[in-house]
Amino acid sequence: MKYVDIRDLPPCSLSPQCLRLIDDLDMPTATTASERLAYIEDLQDERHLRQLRSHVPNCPTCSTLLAEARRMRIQQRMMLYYYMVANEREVPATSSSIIEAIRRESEKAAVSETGSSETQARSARAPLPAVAYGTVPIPLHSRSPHRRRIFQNMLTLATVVAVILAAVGLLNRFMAHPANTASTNQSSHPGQTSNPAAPLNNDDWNSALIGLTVLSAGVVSSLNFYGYDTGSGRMTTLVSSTQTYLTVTMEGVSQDGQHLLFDETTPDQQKTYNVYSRAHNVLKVYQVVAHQGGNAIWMDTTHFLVQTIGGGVQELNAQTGLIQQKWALQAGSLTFYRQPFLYFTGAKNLESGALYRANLAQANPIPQRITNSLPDTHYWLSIDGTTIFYANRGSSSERGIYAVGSDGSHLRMLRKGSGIPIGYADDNSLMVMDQVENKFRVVKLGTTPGAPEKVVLADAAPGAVSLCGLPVQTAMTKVCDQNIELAPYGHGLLLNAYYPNGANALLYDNLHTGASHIIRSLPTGTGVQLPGWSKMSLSPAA
Amino acid sequence: MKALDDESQLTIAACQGSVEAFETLVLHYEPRIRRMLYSLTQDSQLTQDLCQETFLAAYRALPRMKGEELHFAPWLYRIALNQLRSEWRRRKHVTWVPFSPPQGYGDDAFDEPGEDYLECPEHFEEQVGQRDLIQRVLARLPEASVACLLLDAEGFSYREIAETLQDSLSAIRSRLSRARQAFQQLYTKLEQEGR
Repeated sequence: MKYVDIRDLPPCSLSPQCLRLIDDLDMPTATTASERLAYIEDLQDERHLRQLRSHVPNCPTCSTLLAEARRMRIQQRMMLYYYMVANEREVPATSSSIIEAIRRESEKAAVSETGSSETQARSARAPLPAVAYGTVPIPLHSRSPHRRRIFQNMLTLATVVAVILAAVGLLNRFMAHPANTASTNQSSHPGQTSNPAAPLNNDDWNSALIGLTVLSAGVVSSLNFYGYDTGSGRMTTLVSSTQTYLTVTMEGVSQDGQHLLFDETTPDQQKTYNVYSRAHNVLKVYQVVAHQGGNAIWMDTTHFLVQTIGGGVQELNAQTGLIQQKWALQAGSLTFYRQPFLYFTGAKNLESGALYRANLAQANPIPQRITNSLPDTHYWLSIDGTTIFYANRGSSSERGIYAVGSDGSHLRMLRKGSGIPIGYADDNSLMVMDQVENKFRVVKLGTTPGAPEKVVLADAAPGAVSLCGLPVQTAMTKVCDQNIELAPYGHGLLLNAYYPNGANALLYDNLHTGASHIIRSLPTGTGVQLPGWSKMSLSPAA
Repeated sequence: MKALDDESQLTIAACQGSVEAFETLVLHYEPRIRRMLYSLTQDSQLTQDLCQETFLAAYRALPRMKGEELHFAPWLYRIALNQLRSEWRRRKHVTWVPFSPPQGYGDDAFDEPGEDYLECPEHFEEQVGQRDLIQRVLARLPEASVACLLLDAEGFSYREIAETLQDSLSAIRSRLSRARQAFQQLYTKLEQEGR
């Protein structure tokens, strides 16, 4: 085809209009009524169009210009279309999760319309959700059918609220604060802790927090923190960044369920501790040189503890970042706090990997060893604070779940096998995840020695082959603490599961109904952190 | 845009509460919405979130719509783009977090549809598939222009684009024309820089 250079042609004042109305010019003149209406909408454009239809055939400039513009339009459309098609393949499909969410919402609406008293009763009997990452639930009162009447009676509820709020000040002093660390393997597992507010608003512990990071060339190239609402099945973005970080760690959720503590390390080796809340978004609280800052755990709803190199352990105000107190403790990683004791794993002169505790009420506390060195073990403090649970994977004694007094006394094996503790049920009994015949089971241990255990869910991750990562060896451990997040009071379970085809996905198991939902399939190279559950409201208005 | 054969019936049924009808629409449009959103965000996680929020928002709004009058595709894309804009607005309040809404030169830089952009028409040959370059070009264009180009590439008519972007037909004609030229200029420039 002969190509005519536009610069060789005389200029035409109508050329810009030709380009602007090219699609209209190319539309057949015998258009449908609705298309004609489109032209009439803008009389000036219609006038231009009429003018161009008679002008273009006689104008070599406009004719050439239009011919080239058409060619460019086709090429652009084709490029952009294939670009989008390629992009479509970059993102896992969401149809199934959308359809699932819609069905759930539809069923919910149907139930709500019927106003079934049975449903209301079932809802009221739902166990209390437990707490956030790093805490141990301490029920303030027993949960009974009477609670239904409490919730139905605002006056009674107000009274209960007042009483419990009065008790909060006292109970705060007796709470434990387990820590989380997806980034280190010696810290305690994100779990459930006592939360004085939890029994009041047990139904509010319904959002699981999830951190997804995209790893590229060994650094975090983007991060997103989400809240997963178990009621609606929706994931809401809480924090998002495309800044490059060396590491990002979600440390844990405060006892009131409203604050997330996380830290990030930038390539210039600055480590920043941040507090996220729905009300205030991200608040930078404290910054140190990266190699000097360790993990952090909540102490109470307004203070947290940070392990620092050289500075020992510091207590910081979560709003102001001011250092309140310091203790010269040689901690490898902070595990949990229960007034007045801080539990931590040893470092330097202390036995590495062993669990210690120190009385922070003292200015110079002397560490007291609780366990022998147990690398890669997550510790759990019992609801009443008297016992510590952990799994021994066979490194130093027989494989199984052990219990030891929080002062280091009375060590005993609770259960043989490969299971690991994952949290507590609504009756405060220990919940365990194990693998039997390629299925991941959730098991509730008896509350008294010798009491039978109960399988709560026989297949927590249908079809999955691992809860750790893609199994490269058959003997590889397939149940990992950091990919399991049991809801407070054991009403639900969030998992990061791996499948035989190499895919991995986030799953939510409703432990009451036994239903299992895939809530998000994850692209390769996505890092997952499950720091705990929260009370954060995830409604759009929040 | 090429719609489903029975899209009108499906839309009416969905408005009347048929979950099955809506699911059919989800299956048809989810990949399209996903690729549009990812093309605008380059963020897989955000795209998945917005996809889900878009369809849930649509599902919740359907009972209030008149199925006979509803143009489902433009309406759905409008919801998706609104979700995206809300997300970008929301992120602006998180001061420490850098985020990447399209940053560009603005429409003004390309206001006059010149003729010189056709100087080297042949260089568009053999360029299809150069995703990185296209991505860089789109990242420099205003969001509305990118949306126009992508909707046009999806087969939307002017009217459908106008309906989606809630703008006048005249404005869409101008914007799309400028966007095409801007795209071409940037593409040429970046491609030459990359050589």
